[in-house]
Amino acid sequence: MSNTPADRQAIFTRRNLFGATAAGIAATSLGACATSGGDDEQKEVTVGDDAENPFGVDPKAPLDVVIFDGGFGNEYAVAHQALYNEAFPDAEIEFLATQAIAETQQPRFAEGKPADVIDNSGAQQIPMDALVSDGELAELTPLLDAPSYDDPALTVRETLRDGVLEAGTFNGKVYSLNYVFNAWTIWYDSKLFSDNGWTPPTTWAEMMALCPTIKAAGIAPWTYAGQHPVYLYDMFLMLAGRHGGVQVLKDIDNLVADAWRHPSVVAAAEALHSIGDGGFLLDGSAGIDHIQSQTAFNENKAAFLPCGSWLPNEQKAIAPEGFAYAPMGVPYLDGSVQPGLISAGGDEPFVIPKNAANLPGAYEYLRIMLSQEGSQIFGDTVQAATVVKGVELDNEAARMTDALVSNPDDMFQPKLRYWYTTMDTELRPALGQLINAETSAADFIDRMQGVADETAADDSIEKFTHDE
Amino acid sequence: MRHGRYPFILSFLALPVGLYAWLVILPFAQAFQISLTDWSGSSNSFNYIGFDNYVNLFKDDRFVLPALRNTGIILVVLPLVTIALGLFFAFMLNLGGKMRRGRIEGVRGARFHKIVFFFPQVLSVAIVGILWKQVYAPENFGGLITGALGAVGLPAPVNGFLADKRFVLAAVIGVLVWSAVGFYLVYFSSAIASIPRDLYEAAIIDGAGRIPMFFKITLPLLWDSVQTAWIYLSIIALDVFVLIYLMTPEQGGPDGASEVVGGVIWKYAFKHGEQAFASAIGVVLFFAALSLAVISLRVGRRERIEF
Amino acid sequence: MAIETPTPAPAEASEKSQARAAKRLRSEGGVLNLFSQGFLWLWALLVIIPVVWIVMTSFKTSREIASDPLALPEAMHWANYVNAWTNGNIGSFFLNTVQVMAFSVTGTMLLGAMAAYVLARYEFPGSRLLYFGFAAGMMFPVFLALFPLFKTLSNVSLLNTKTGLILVYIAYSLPFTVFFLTAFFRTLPSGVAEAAIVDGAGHYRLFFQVMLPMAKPGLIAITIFNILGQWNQFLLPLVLMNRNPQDAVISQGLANLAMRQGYEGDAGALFAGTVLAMIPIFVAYVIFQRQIQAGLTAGAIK
Repeated sequence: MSNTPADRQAIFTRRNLFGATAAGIAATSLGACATSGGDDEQKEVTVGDDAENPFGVDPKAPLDVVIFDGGFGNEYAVAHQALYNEAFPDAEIEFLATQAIAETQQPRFAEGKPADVIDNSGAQQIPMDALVSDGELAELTPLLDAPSYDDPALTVRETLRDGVLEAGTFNGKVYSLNYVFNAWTIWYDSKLFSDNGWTPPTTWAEMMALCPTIKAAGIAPWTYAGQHPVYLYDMFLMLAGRHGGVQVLKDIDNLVADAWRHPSVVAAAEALHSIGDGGFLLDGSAGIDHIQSQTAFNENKAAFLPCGSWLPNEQKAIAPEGFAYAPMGVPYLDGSVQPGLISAGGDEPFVIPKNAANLPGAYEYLRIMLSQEGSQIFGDTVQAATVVKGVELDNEAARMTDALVSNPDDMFQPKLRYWYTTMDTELRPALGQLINAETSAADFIDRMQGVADETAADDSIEKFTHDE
Repeated sequence: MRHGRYPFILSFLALPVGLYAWLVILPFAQAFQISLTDWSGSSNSFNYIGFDNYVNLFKDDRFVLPALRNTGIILVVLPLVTIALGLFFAFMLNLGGKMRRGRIEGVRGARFHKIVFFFPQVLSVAIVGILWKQVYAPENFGGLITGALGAVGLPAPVNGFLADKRFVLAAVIGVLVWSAVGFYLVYFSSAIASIPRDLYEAAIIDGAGRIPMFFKITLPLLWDSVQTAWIYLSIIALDVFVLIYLMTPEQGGPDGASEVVGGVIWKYAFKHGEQAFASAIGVVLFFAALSLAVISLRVGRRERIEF
Repeated sequence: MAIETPTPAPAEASEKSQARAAKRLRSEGGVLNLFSQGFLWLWALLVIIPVVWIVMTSFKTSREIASDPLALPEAMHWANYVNAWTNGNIGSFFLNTVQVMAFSVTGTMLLGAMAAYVLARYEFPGSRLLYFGFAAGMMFPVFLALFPLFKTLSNVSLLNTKTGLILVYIAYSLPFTVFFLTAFFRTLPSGVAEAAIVDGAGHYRLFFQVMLPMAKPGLIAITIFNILGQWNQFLLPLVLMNRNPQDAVISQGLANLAMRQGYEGDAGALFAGTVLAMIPIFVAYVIFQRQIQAGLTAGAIK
């Protein structure tokens, strides 16, 4: 997609094509778009001196907020809006909570009248790569450089945990604020293990050696959310990254030639294949969703489950008494050079459209979200870990996340799922096929290298890289 | 009566045609326009790139070509099976019963069956999807069919029907047939009821059995209804997506095994940010459907039997 | 129903041959009867079992559903229904749908009948073109129109309004309605129309007082088609009514519940909501099934 605004035309404004035949009706429907984007002399938001109102928010300007109404609900957002209204009582806030972000918000982008703040999350999020390469998003630099809500001496950036901005960074520019902090791991029930006298494995070889024992006890070693193979993502990539070091994963993200053929990636693929090949998957895993896989795990039908740090919290209502969640990290392959590598970082991307009608208000809304109070509300309401430092949270997910990412140097978030939708949609089913041993490791590698090569060669796809 | 003819025609057509042109034709014309661009769908600017999208879509063996193949299968199987079952049930209900006082009758409980068979038709597709997803689930996870097969000692796909590449498409078609059969049963029943009874009774006297009776009398006289049903089912077949969206892994999986054209349009438009490409697929789908309808109307044209 | 309409037995048939044929057919009918009864019951069970199962499941707790989907509920867990009703807003979604459809179905039938009547019974330049223009609309994939439609409605401030949705429903139901009603109007006998003209009826009176009543059976059949079709609309309301969640129609509401279940795991509420959405339709269907089938009968007779 071309990035020179000059040779672009505002959509729906061309009436020459059909104008002749349908002129009368066209007048209303193909009519020029009032706020037609592309006008790049857009109101820039700068950070002023006033720590109370650094973006110069017009107190009367309405604010348009869209929240993804998924696992976190929308109660926290209502509370954030109350905070905003405390500061700007005259501002009217228009609020939509929905699960269909793409279906409801994409047409508004297209029209050049997007909402001011969008929580672009869930299964129906608008692909971030498309939004970024279309230049539809505002950079978050003014927000990050602004004085933080609670302490004017610190910038917002300085109040954030390490690695939070990674997921929203595209070629060095931050376009989304990921508002929840997650880490991925492998879970087991420590009570089950101690009852049976099993030692939780740390290496892949130990794990594979334990599997027949677990199976003999009438328990399937593994299950996963078969309908959403995205749950295998981090398990697979961490296997490779731990073995070959983080550079292996960066090369994959950077579309380096033959990155998928790296011996560590091949070894990870073979390892994943061996689970299905050895018959170590719970029967039916491929046909279930995440809730079903988690329930099966809670009922000790399976011993290991790949999932994120939110799991204990998500299963509160279903988990039986005495079930003891314990994370063990992805069992690493022999010869791993970075066995502590963990996939962790921000999730739940909040974006501000460049054509937002109330840009200062949008920045201010995010600044309020990132205040101690705003983060506290979020962490307490949805029982999750926040991205803001120093917020005391009394919930399981926050404790688990903190425990998992004790060493920030080992933290890395693979990016291809944010950067290249085409690769993302290929990797998911491919991983599902692989763990069920319906495809060989070699075929899997060929398939992924193939789509990586296609992506690299496709000029219409904007490329992103990790800065070295 | 020629007086005021044109004002009348105009007054009757203005509203429907105007509304139709404004909300259907024009948006589709714009969709065609969009298909000639590189518009992502989430921006308000684009470049014209000519027919590139059309060229590329026939090279897309990842989504588009498998989807065309699957849609093609549904297009053949769905009308065929639904109409066959609908006709069979309708014939049974109306003429499958005992012979009483020189007249053949329907089977007992015909009214009950009609009510039951028709019921899925009034369920919203969301309900149907939720329901059948569980029916097809793996045995370990309470699947009705896998459980029943296991109970009588028959092999069942270990991951259920929807997560198995071999069965997923058939499973989806099964649900489509399930929800459609009742409607066509009632539709064909009505048509059979309008066939004069004497024709059957004459056939009985000529010594015809029930099966020849079906092929020699019922089917030819129902030809118009069958043709209508065929067109209607074809349209449904081309539109199949919501069920796949609700039931299958990764909305078209596993690994693309139940990808259909409607789903691919949706994926490119909303998940890949390639609205222009999606529009091109839609335009191709439209012209394919149109030619299909024209052909089937031409081929299906038969001499009408008057009675 | 066919089996209830007495038809006089053919008088000219000889007693003897009739008796012989009847005897043979009786034995054949016995076998066929068994076979067809078996097959019919099999299909009936295919419909009944899943529906009963879903009703049963709607009374179970989320844990019961997850751990033993086939078992009977341990206790009647009515809380699911409370959750579905309050959080799922099933009641108001239902009301919204009825409000929209009251206008959209009426509008579709009125405009559709007007267009179809003119296209069926008046020859004028371009009439065939218009007819095929409407018919081709049946093949339009709705996906394609979503974005332009959004823009179109937004331009006239009808986006996120029931009025806008009603107009769109009408427009997208017209192709099918016009296509089938045109065929129907063509089959109506012209004798009555001619008589009315002799009596001095104008074009309008002819339509409203003569043709429309004559077309009633066909109109009923197409109305049923349209009610079923619009009841199930999902994409159009999703994109065109996205501002105010309280305005959602029933299919959106259910899909919403289904997705929430994915995020919150409240499977019980999902099934309860499903049952709640089924009940009014079921009741309406049982009450009106005679009319529905009669309407279809009329539709089938050409």
